[in-house]
Amino acid sequence: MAEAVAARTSEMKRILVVDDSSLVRLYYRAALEKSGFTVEQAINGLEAMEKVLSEAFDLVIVDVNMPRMDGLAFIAALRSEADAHIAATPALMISTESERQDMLAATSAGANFYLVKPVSEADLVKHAAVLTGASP
Amino acid sequence: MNELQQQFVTEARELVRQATDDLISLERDSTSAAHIDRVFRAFHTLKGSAGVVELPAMTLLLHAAEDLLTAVRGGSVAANGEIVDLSLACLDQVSRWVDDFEEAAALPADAGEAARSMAERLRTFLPADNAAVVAPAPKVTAPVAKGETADWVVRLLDRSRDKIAEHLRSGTTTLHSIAYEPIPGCFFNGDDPLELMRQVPGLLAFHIEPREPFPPLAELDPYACNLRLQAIAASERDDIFKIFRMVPDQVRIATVPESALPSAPVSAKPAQDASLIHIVLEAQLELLRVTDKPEGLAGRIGAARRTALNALRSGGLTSIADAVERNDAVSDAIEQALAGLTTSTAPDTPRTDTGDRPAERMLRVSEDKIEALVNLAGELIVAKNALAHSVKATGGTGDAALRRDQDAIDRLVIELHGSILQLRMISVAQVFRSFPRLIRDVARQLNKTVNLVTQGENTEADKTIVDRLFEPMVHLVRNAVDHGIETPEQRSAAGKPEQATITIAASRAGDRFHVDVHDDGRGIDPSAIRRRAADKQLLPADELAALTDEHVIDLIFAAGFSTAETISDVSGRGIGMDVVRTAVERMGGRVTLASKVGAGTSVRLDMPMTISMSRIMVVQAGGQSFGISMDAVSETVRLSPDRINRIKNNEGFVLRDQVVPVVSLAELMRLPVNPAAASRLFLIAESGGRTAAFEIDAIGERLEVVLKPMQGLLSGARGYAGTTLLGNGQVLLVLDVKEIMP
Amino acid sequence: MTIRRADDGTIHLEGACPVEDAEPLLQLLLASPKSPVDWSQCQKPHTAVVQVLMAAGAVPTGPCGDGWIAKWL
Repeated sequence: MAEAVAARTSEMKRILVVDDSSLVRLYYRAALEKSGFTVEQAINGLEAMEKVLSEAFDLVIVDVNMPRMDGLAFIAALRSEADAHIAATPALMISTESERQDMLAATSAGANFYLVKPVSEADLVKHAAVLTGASP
Repeated sequence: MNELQQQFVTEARELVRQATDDLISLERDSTSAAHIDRVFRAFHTLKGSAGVVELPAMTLLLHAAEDLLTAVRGGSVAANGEIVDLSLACLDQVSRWVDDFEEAAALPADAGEAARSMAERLRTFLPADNAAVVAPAPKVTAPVAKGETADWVVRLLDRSRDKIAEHLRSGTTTLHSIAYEPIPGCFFNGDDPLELMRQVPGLLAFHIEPREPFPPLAELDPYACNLRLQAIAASERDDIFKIFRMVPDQVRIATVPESALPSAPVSAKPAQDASLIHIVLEAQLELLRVTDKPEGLAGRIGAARRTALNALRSGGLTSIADAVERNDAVSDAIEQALAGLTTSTAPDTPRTDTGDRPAERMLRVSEDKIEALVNLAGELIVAKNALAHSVKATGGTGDAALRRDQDAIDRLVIELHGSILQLRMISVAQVFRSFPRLIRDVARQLNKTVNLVTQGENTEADKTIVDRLFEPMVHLVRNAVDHGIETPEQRSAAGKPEQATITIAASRAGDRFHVDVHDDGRGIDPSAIRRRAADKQLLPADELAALTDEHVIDLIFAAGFSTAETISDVSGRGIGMDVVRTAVERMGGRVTLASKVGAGTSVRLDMPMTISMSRIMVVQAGGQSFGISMDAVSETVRLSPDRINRIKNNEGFVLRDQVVPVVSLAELMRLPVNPAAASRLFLIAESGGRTAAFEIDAIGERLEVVLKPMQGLLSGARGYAGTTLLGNGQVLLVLDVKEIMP
Repeated sequence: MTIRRADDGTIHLEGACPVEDAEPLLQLLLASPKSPVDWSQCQKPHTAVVQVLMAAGAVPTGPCGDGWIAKWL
């Protein structure tokens, strides 16, 4: 059972972190890599789109506010992708807004889950594990 | 029983009926997704309700049944007769428990055991690995595990943790969570959901959110409620329930388990892993509810599915994950996974099934209350009669005002009585509803296939009649399946479709209503009846020979006649059409039968729409019992013989300044008159402006009966209002006071 | 009418706002979705009225005149 083995470890789980702030990307990357995830980065939706089309990810962690293509537009585009596997990539949206409306907008775009900043290291890892199917 | 429990009993019965109907439809058309869905929904709702009133055994059983139905819905198990049988048996069990619950507010002691063994049987039909999913079902022994709490409750508790901590330090009241989802049309019903919430005492946390994402403002219907209100309150369940008593179907009140409460030093620790998985699954359901955006739909579904699988696997719940993976209906799969994770104490995910509910506003009134009203109206009529008597006793001195008032009261009382009787009018649907099941069971037993067509289910009649209709109809329908309908082989040999059709139709005909039971079976052969009647010596041979075929067929109703060649399990022993006739005639109806050999048989029950119940008094005279309508009786008096004056050949006495002639009832009926006793008993009757005292030996019980007109030789006899059948089978002659007045 | 728009564009909810006020409020918000809403003089707004405010994403400028609403919403 390859799946069962995969579920035991987070090493094989690949996460794409999409945020325009290099500080935030660094923070996320450090936290996730410490827990064994493999992390790639993108600075906006357009770049993220290029990445997800070229290699498979187990999760994309996306900031809402980004220049060029924002998080909502990116997730909506991802969900409309022709390749079913790519379109079904789990997406975690991170935002400074805690309003119900913002969460609904994220859901409506196709985000699987929503976290409000600031996100603690532990929270990030825990959510990443649940969303990728890894056991931390 | 509190209101919630009463509500459960009513709702559960409705759901059982609905599920029974749907199961039978499902069996007939086992591939219909709509039927499967309906059956599933009924079981699901039933399970949820059982959880609300905390009946773990019932929940366990229904959970197992629901799993089986899930497999049926997913296509891994076929909806065959066996599955339907078992599901029906499950409903029967639930039905019995509901009765027990109504009686004792609890299930019998062996309920847990019964639930377990039946659940095991249900599970034997599940594909092997599917059965594993069922494993984390709620334990029967524990009084419903309360460890798990709905996420919104956790969120609300967390949000108001200071207030709650404060409450925990001071108060002792249990916390309750309130999930109130007003129906969209609630504003039109005059509901103001916030106003209700406002009344909740001890409110600690409150949250309001749209049930569905709000549409663009331009498309918003301001008068359609699209809100979900959630609250935590430190108040008693009953107090909360009282506030929401008018909307019990829209509100779920649950006890907040102590385990969910923040401990003394409130930590801001986020949800535990198990509940995180739960929350993530819920979020996927939310994602799947986004249906107004066609672009990216496939991607959203795929992502929700993948995320749900990931979440379950991250928690080591691989068997549940596998079940989700196998189920193509992602949303349902996730819901079931959630159901597997939580216990039934959590409020159900909202199901927008309000569309199925009739829009008509109905008031549920218990039968007892209506019965009390009917009885009061009956007594009012008697009082009205007494008033008429008193008014007349004033001597008719022309007090016009008094007369006018009395007339008004007369009219109002009669109208009131009529209106109250209208309350008792119910549709025959509830009787008809039993027949799909009955026919199915009987037909299966006899290896026949029968299609049931019902018509006119909405025809209304008095409750008493509708209730009493069931028994004769059962006989007719059983007879039709058993004797009327041929085996499939016989039918195809006769060039008929293998599946027989039984039609049950109700219709209104003036002030009467008809129930027709028709089958397209072999029909009744008059010569067979003749032979049988001759064997049974029902009639002398010459009389029998003289009867036309039509009349011969009527013999089927004669006592002791049975057409069955062999006494089968189905139509019972020695119970025949005579029972039908008796039952129908007891409520003032009649039965007719028409049959054509090879084409089928029709039986018509011709019934009164309202039962004309007469209140009678049973009296003894000359060693016999008679009935006398209470309407005519104003009082009974017992007098010593010296009060009676003899005027010529007639006796009489003075009662309130009025000379009342005495009539011996025994003499009138040409019966031996009892020797004069120490006191004499009279019944004062009035009719047509005259008063008379009927001498009787004793007064018996007072009864409400259905009068049957005199028939046969006595049909022309004067002095009788009719006959009625007493409970002990005795025929009571009821006298027509008007006719026997001296 | 307990719903009105002032000259400065602010929509005022005043007094008891019964269910019938939902429609006019919606019309005002549709006409100018960004209007500030002042419900400091409002008492017992009907759920339908609150729903319109929620759907419009309107953020009232101050606390509601109704204590219960101000506390819990």
